[in-house]
Amino acid sequence: MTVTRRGAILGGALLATGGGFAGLLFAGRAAASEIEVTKEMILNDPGAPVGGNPKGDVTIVNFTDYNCPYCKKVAPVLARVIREDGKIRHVYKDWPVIRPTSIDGAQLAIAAKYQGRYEMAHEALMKVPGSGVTREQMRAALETAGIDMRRLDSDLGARNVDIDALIKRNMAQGDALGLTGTPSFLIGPFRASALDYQSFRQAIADARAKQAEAK
Amino acid sequence: MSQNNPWRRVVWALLVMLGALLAAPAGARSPAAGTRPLPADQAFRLSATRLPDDSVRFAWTIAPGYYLYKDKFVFRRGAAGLPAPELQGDGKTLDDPTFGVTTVFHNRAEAVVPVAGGKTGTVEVGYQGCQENGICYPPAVRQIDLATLAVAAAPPQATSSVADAWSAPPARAPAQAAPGGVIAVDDGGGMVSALLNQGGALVVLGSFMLFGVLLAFTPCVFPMYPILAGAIARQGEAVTAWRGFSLSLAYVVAMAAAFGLLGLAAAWSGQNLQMALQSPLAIVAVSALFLALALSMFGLFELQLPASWVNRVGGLGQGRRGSLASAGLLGFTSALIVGPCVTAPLAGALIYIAQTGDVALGAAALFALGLGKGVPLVVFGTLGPKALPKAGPWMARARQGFGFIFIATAIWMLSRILAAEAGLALWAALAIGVAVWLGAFDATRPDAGAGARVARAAGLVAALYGVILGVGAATGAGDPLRPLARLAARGAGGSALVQERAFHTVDSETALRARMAAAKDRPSLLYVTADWCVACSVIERAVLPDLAVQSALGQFNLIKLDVSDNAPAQQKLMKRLQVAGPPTMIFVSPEGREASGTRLVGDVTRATLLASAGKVEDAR
Repeated sequence: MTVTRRGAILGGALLATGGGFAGLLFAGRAAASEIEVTKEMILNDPGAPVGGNPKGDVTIVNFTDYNCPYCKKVAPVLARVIREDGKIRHVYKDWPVIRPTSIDGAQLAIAAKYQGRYEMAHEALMKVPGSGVTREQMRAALETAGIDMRRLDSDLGARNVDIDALIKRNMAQGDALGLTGTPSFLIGPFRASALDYQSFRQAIADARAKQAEAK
Repeated sequence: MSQNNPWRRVVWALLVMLGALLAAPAGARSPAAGTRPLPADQAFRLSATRLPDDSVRFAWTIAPGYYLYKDKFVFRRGAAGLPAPELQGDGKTLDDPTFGVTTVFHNRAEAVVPVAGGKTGTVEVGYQGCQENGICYPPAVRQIDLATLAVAAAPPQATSSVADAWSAPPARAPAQAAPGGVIAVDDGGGMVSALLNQGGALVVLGSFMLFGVLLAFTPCVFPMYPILAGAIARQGEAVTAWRGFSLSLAYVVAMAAAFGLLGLAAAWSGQNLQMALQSPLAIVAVSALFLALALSMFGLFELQLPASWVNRVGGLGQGRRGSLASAGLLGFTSALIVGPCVTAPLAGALIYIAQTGDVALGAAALFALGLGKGVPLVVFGTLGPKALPKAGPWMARARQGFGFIFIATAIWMLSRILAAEAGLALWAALAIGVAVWLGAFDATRPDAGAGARVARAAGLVAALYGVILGVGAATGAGDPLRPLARLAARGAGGSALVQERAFHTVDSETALRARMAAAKDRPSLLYVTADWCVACSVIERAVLPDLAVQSALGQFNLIKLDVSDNAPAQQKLMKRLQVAGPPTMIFVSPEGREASGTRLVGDVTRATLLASAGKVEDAR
């Protein structure tokens, strides 16, 4: 097996936690690096949850992690920008790279998609402070937010393969983009990390201008 | 914020409101905004050196604006973990609601790891960090060969060509400023959206109502009392509290409605109504109106709406319906009088309407503003008729007193467009007029009562003040509170006037861009002004020459945007900068970004200007 960057990251996580890292992605790394990454799949992966206005004229792709403090800081700002703008298509990419339990968070959030509550789950998980959130804390937050936990567990089991495949695709996409960490955003033709309110608006305006130019 | 405690909400709303008066509230700051994070190995450079005692020192050089978590360092040799070494560096404990309590290292971190008899094999080091306000990196693992102490490079990134589809957003360097506008305008969208964001529409309306109550104590509102009193008095003897209440309420609601309509008109016409309200024509007209009111108070004519209007509005022109309607009509027209007093909140609401197109909320906010302003009027209208003594000669005196107040208001308005010394001369004339009215120059009979003597004393004081003002005006002074400043300065042997720092005038975006580029790494102050802008001339006369202000502005690149002509290029630039109208002051960092929470709109005082300038300094 060639050493991929992702392998090293996950190895690092393993190291950092004394080997407790979920084996799922580690085993799947070689396969993940072979996933073909296209711009189309980054923007329009049919499995990826979409929020905002699905018909919006600017797409924001959000590579995020439920143990990432700046993701948590920026989440309400981005939500406000998207709400106020009204024409943003918001594509979520769970990209669990910060801690081993980030993978738990990604799985739980994606599983909520099958009961139509991905965004509710995402928001709830982003509201749990800190960068070392346990799976139990995540489950408690989801339950409080109103996720049907029985349904969630059943989807985690039945949709296991689809969920893991989506996470692997996300991992491969993040790698292919050369992302350095989370949060990472693709805003129209631009890439960015955490932004403040005004910078988001500016980037969106710039993206619109550039898209109009390209037409 | 507690949803359960309404008082906290009120207090909070007041605080926000006051804060919003000084400046738009700050948004989340992100120094890293727009800059692409460094690759992990550039953000955190790891090196290893062998020490004489068979140990290895690992040192990380951490790029500015980046940090490593203290509790994420891991050391391993082969399969075995190494005991946790003591970590040294610029440790700092963060207690952030999002992060929890963590200790992080800035600049550098260091650990000495014993490797007994180890000149072969490898040590694995794990660490993790973040870019401040940017991203957090995945855990990094590096292998160090104990023989050479070389740090193995990070595995190559499997980046594919698909990454080329996205580029960094346009840079925001000062020289090549933001493409959306020469200045990256601070967020918040002004106080309405800040209030809306925090507490919803009710908080917006409540806050504007409170604003109105505060504004009720500005000079523009005084004339409304005699007008309202007149409207109530015409009801004759039988004015009950209830009647007074309903009449004054009709008056106030109509006045508030006029404000709401102003919001609607602003939204639909897209025009800058403030410009209209501040035009010399409007000011002369309002001053003339006040003068007419004053003459009416002196008994030259009876202040009353034409009977034909009242008839049309009231249908029958008599009875309760008619008088309520005429009180309403009076209130509606009175709103014009108050217009010039409400620059700041008016601008706030108008900016919001322009930005969001939310006509309903903007107009409702202005309506609430009008209602708030009317609260004391309603109290006066309800209690007044009972509290006031029976009609008598005193009423004529009271009316004349109001007449002087009206003249004062007319001068106050006019002095905004007149030369300062001309304004002072008018004040001098008024003071002497008051003195005459108070009987300063009448002979006091030996049997005169205490009241007459007090009045005469006050009249003499007014006369003295009038003379001093007149002398001041003759020397070219303009400040009614320091009419002799110029004489004093001359007496002190020379001009005490400071050499004021000059503003560079620009009139287009290109000129502004060039000015800002020329400033290099100094912050800029962009002052939007116009020759017709009344509040601007007050700022230029009373605020900018202040010594403390001058010294605070010393570090700024001072730029003046003169929108007197209201030319298309100027309008465009104002729109870009989200400026509703002059006076507006925008503080811009050397990077071309508006400093958060520093914008000044409307009445700029020494205190607010110093506060904003101080904030810019602190942020550097």
